Amino acid sequence: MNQDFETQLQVVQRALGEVVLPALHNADKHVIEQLHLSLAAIGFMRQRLPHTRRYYRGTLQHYLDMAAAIVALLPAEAVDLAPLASAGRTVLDDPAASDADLRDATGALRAAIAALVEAVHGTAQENALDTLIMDHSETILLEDRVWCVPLGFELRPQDLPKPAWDR
Amino acid sequence: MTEDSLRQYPTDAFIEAVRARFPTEREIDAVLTRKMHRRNGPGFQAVALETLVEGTTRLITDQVGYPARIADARWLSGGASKLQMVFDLHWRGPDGEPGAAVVTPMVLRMEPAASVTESSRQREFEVIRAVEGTVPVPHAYWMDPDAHYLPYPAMVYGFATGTAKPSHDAGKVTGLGQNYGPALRAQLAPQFVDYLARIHNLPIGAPPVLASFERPVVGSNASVIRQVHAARRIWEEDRIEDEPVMAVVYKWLIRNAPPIDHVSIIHGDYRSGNFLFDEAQGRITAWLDWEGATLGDRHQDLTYASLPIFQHYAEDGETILVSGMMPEAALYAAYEQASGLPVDPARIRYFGVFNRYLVSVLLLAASTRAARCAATHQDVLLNHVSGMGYLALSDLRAYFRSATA
Repeated sequence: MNQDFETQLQVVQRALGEVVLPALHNADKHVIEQLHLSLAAIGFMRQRLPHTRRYYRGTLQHYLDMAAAIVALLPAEAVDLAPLASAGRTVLDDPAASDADLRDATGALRAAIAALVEAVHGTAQENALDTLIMDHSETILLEDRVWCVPLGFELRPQDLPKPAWDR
Repeated sequence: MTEDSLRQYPTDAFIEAVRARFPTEREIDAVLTRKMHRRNGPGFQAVALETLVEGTTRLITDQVGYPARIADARWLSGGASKLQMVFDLHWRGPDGEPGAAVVTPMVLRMEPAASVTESSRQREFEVIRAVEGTVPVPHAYWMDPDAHYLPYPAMVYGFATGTAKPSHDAGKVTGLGQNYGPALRAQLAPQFVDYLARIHNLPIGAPPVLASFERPVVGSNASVIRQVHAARRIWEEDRIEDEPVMAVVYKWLIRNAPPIDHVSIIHGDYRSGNFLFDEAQGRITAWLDWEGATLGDRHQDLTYASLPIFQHYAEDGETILVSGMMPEAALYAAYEQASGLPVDPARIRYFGVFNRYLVSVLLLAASTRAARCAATHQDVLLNHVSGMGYLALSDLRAYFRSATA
């Protein structure tokens, strides 16, 4: 199969950028702006598509690590989290798991952890859980930022750490 | 029903449950509730310019009481949230003298089906009227808050001259990392501070002035909590996936909401990119985008203007300029001098967290959901700016840790 996504995106990017855009020099500003933004979206996909699976797997691994730390910290309160973590581990270990499976497993862990934050509100365990979440989230969010670097919002992208999915 | 599909196609029970959990100002509640009900309706359909001309003509004719005529209507670009049409109004002018023939350039500003900032045209109209004469704003002429004449709620205001971007840096999405350059910066920065001081010192009259704004009470934190609730409600209504950091920060914002020490009009989106200026004269000609305005604590505007997404490095490569103007500490010092109002470090920390939380909500939830619902005329722009969401969330986490250490 030679109809790879990389080529599809490349040809669309060239057609829009090198043929359509120059032909729109008299168009309204918002039309030109929407074309530039469409090109930015395609450029983002071209850069990130090859890394997608490793990125989703890495994010799930991070949340499995966070969940394990929470279960160790609050075994009684996190009783609902343990089976979700176990299911997430199964997805991560399954070579046939789809990208959607990886994202769903990650989303389930995120939701369960966020719910636990509310559930322990006002208890003696609250501060320890909040601190754990903030600590574990640092790497996750930095990697999410790196994922979005091609969109051009970082002041100094070169200062961000190299993520696991790009090594 | 999955968590995501519940938000994409919300049930009445879901809408009411979220409303009950996060009570906020009446007008904000109405706007957010309307957004959720719209989500189950038809998607956003591109609106023809002719439709807007026809509806706007009827609106104005009904308001002035004689036939008015619209000419040279065209789309106005700029901004991420509203549809805008610029036109020349042929009418008798503000005095309505029979026989008078006046041509006034005006702007129609209309909501799409959803928006990065779901807001009230009624409030936007009222606050522009309230600050006119204190800061440069286009005159607010008429509104259609219930979409009686137009496809969605809208207002008409005067066309303001000026540009939002300097000619040497015109390619950026408005206001994001906007670099005015040293010469223009030196001219604009004092005005940037002075106008903020004027807004915050403006006495707030009794209704009908700002009638749809609930009045905060000095010494109470109830109005701050209402704002936190509003942000959290948007998170509940719009998010694509949950986020543990947001849950932690929300609890802290409720628990640590400071009492109001002075009630000010808060612009809510005071930053680079939201004013027009005359590049040749180095003069601010109009403050725009009042849709997020509220009555509250001045530190909210100060910390919003200082958010990292509106910063850039100065020419030395080291100094960070907030809103492209000056270092953060210099902004606060200049503001104290211009306003005579104290800048409280504790409130700066609180509203620094609040604004980062709010921006994370708007980028990761509202923008992404609106684009996913195909609910606007600028889905591609909302999708693009949502890419700042993880930068915002990462910054929220780091700032929260330093503010609460």
